[in-house]
Amino acid sequence: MYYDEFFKLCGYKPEETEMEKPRIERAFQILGISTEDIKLAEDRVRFYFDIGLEGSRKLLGVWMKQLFDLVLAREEGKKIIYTSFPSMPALGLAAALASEDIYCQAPEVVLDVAMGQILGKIKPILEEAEKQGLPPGLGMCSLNQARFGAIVTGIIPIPDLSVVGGFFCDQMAKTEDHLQYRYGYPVVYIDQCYGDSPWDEFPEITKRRLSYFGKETEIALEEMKKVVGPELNEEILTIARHENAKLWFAQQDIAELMKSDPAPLSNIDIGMEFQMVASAERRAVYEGLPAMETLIEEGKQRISQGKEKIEQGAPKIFFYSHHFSDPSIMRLLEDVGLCMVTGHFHTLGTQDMVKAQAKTYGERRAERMLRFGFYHSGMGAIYKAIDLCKLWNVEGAVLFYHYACRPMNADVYQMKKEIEKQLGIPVIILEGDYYDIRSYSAESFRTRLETFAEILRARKAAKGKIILMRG
Amino acid sequence: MNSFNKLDKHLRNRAIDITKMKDEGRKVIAYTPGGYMPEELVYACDALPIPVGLIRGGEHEPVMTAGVYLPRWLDTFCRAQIGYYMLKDDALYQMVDLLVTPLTDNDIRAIADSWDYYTDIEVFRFGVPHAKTDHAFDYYLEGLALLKDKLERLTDTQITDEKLKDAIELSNRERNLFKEISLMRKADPPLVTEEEFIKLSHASFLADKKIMVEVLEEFCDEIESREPPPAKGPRILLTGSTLAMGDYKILNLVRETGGTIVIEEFCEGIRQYWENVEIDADIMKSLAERYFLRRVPGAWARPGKERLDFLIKLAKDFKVEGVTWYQLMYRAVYDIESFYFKDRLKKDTGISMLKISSDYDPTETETLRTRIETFIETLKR
Repeated sequence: MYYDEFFKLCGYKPEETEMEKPRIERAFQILGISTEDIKLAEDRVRFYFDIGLEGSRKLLGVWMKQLFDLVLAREEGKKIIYTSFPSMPALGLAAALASEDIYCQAPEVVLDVAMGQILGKIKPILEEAEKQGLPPGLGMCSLNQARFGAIVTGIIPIPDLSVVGGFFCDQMAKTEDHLQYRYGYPVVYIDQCYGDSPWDEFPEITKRRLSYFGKETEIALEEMKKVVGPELNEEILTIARHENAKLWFAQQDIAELMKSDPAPLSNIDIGMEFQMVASAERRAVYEGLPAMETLIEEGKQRISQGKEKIEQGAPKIFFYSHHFSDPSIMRLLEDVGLCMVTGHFHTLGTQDMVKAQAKTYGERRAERMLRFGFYHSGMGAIYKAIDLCKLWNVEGAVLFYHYACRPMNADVYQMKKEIEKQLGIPVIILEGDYYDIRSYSAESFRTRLETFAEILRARKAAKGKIILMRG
Repeated sequence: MNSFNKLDKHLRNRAIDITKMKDEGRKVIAYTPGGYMPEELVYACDALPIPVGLIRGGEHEPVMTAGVYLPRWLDTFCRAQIGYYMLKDDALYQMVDLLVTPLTDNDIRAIADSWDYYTDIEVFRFGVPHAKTDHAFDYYLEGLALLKDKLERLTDTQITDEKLKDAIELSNRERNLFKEISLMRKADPPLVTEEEFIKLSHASFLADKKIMVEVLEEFCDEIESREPPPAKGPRILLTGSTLAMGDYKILNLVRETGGTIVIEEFCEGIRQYWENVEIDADIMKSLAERYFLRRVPGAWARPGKERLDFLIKLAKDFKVEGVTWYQLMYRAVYDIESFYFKDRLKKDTGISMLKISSDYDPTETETLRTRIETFIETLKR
């Protein structure tokens, strides 16, 4: 078939492609994926992803299966719960693991990775969202546009329940309000008052914030139980928590490999696994985790063989976050000779390792989210960035931020100043879009990033000379 | 009118008066004008603090200045506030001892964060939950208790029930007067113009409340004895995110193109006057009931139906012929809501809506004029 080679690149065995044929073809029909699209996707996958690695190929495959699961969920008789991104990973995962009859995922993440990064076909979805309620030019978040556009065009089903994280982002909750107006499906919002703390309070977490956020989480859980049934019980909540932790620790192991010089992996591939962990569902546990373990082994082999993916001596940097729908910014970063070792969302900080003290399930989940820093306050996000820069001993920071994300953009200037002040390392701010490349071009950053990389190399060289002189 | 002369005189001297009071040791408590900060608490600190709303807007220079401190992708009014402070040309902004910021959304949070980081002014935040559940009410009430404690420590004054009751009675009186004046605009033609009402509303964020009440009372008396203004064009409901003091472009354009604004509903900048505090045994709870439970929330509420229902009610009660949705750039929740409210408004009332956005940029004026002119012309047919 015209897609055999593509799925081979995505780690499918021939018999698996054959077995999956009805799902693939039905999903492609709904999504409007043509033969030509698949040819382009093949080129795209070869260009961006490290397909010489089995782990990367498998990760690509898991994302494609997730796309089919999403598009076909209703036709396959599943009850559907949509979470949103950022979500409470272990909560959604519990529903997904509770029963095979449940589909629970943040659809926008699947669409961004599979339709964006892999297939390069996210644009029509975003354009439809722009026509029908989230217009261009107003700083609308393209992550919301992906969710909205896919629902209004009917390429993904209407859910039985939507569990929306309003604990951080205002836009996502409001977008869901619009969808509820149009389709009337039930929505539960997980609220907290983001930033409701004195500026320098983090890492302290007040009891009242924990209590309110925890109660909201409990309410969401109760609503989810109504859809999932008795299977969403204490036992599965515990299992989901453990599985989620396994995913995070595997992710941390992958990140650790990047400390090697030369670094063995590309952040394009790491981004794919980060997005899987950040929005984990059933396949992430059963197929994603083994793929990550394969990637870890392959990375270790490369290190032992001295093979490089990123050139030796590349300055190690903190990078705010991976792109979700197009890897060109990550490619550029590596092209100019920078090595991203840590980022806000895919590496764990000091506070992430603190054992949750709260008593109830909801409060424990809330505590995890608040300890993450980014979901606590602007200062929490800054604290986390500085903490990660220290932990990973980076030589510079690239604050590539998602311009349409109000929670993120409100404090990015302060973050730059604080990293520079506290750590004395160079910081550059780049304004872009994590989910849509129509509003910026990675290439427009080339000169700035080349210069920045040059500065870091010069500092490194100077530091080396000083050490030699002292020696 | 005497009432306006009195108000103008009071406001002209306001900065000087506040300077004198500050020299006497009084504290200036600023707050974001979204209607979630009970001024009563401030007044109950033995009238030491002077509530001053960060209410200015409409000018481009503060927005440009703010670009050094905040990215442009935040609400224009919210960005402008750090700009006003940094420009140092408004004495009131420089006199602030404490900025109280009820956090409703990330745009408002940006005011708190930027003031916290870039100025020496202390910032007190308290969160406003996004839904009206029991535990959300408790959370808001706890926030008020923390605010009360903060104000008491700052002013070294205990807020007693008696003082609080007095402040509530004064504030209720002010709200009653605003409501009375607002309802006069139901008449056709309205007995009060939009310029008069909005000027009074904005002034109430800066004026001494006792004087403001006197002005409003006098204004009501004057209305009874004056000739109603001449009939004008289509009756308009003006709604949106923020209508700040000085942001009068939209008012001028509607008036110049023949429309008559008869009612406004804004999250920030227009005083919330529909509900009073009903004093109960627990006065703090009474405040929370009024300021959180019984007020209509902004577009950031989830779900956001209550505000839209209220807008429909206002449109019917004030017999409006068109709705103008005026919002500031990048206030995303309003942008999203405007899209489907337009549809709902049409279905429920048959009324059309025009949505316009502003970045406080003078170059946008004539483009907006064409759109508003066309809208008003359409309504006239």
